[in-house]
Amino acid sequence: MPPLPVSERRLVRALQRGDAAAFDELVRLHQHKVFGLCVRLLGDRAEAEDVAQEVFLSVFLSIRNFRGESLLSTWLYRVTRNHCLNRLKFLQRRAFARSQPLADENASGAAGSAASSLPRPDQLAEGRQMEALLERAIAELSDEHREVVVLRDLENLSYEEIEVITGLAEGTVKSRLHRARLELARRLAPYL
Amino acid sequence: MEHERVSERLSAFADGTLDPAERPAVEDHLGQCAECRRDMEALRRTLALMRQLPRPAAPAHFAQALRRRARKGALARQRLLRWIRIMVPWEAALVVLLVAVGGLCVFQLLTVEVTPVAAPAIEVADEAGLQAVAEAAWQEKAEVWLQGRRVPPGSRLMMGGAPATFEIRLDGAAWTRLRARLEKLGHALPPPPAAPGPFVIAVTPRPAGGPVRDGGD
Repeated sequence: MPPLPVSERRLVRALQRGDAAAFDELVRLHQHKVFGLCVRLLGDRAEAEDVAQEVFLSVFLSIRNFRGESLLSTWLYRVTRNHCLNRLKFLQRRAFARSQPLADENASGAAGSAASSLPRPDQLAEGRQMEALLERAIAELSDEHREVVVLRDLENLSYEEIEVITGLAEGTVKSRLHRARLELARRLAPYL
Repeated sequence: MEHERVSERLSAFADGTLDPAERPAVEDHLGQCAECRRDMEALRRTLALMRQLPRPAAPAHFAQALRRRARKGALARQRLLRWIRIMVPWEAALVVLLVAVGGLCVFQLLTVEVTPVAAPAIEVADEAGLQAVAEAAWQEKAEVWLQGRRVPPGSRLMMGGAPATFEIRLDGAAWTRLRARLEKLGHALPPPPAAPGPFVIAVTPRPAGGPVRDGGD
């Protein structure tokens, strides 16, 4: 792993001293990354906002444990991913029904497979609706497929970073990614 | 390269992470296999689409809401600490701790197990003899126990109308004094054991027609 950039080292030291301004800076720099990952992994904006706040609060309390063995952003991704997995387990136990399907406010319910619930090709316009299709197809992947696709293809992280964040071996990341992409391509094939 | 192996490598080929040594074989196969070409095209389009997908932005109020929540959490922690300090001052907590430890020590001292008697039991011929031994024990300030209960001085030692087996619990000094007193009653008790007391001596009615088996026989 590359050494921490100087600016990041300063920020981490200030956070470890309990500096409130450093906390504001951390939020300013990383709020969109953390929130974005939460939305992608949870598929629900309200849950994502709540979990993203929890992530920052837990980071503020546990920043002393950060030893600089990875980039701060990688560590943040790992904390975020773990919080999201915990929340998913909690929600699945409560038989959670998504309150606001991601980027698809006009679409009907998310139940059923993507192929059966997606609109027909002749109903589709370019742009926003294609995004909505893709968002829904990603949301309907299994948790383990969704996380590798999100980290690699949406967050543009390297395989090495994904291994650190998920704790998975390189071979597992690659095979899961391959299966997840094929599944997405299969679901989107009628519209591509 | 055969179809299955190429199919597994299409994803890496599409995002440019395939080992360069494997690229020619995959390209060669793609030139011949329509199914793999179709999959490859679908993967490329899917990847291109994903790269264009905008990241959801945090709501404008996110940082402010987070600060509010952090303040609320800190305030709640402060209140809890203040409440603990008011309700449970450290001095009180220390006193409670000392009392608990002291109580535990006393409890353990009071519940020390009694050392079993080293000498054989004393056998007596009848109820009068049994009662006489108990009286001797009470006079020497020893304890008399019957069926796991301490018997107060002067009690009659009967169980179901028959003389009952009982125990005398005493220390070494009481043993020596009791030994002298029992000698006068015709019972031989050995000298007290060298180990520190307390000790237990069992006193039993002699079976009808049985031989005399006192502690000192």
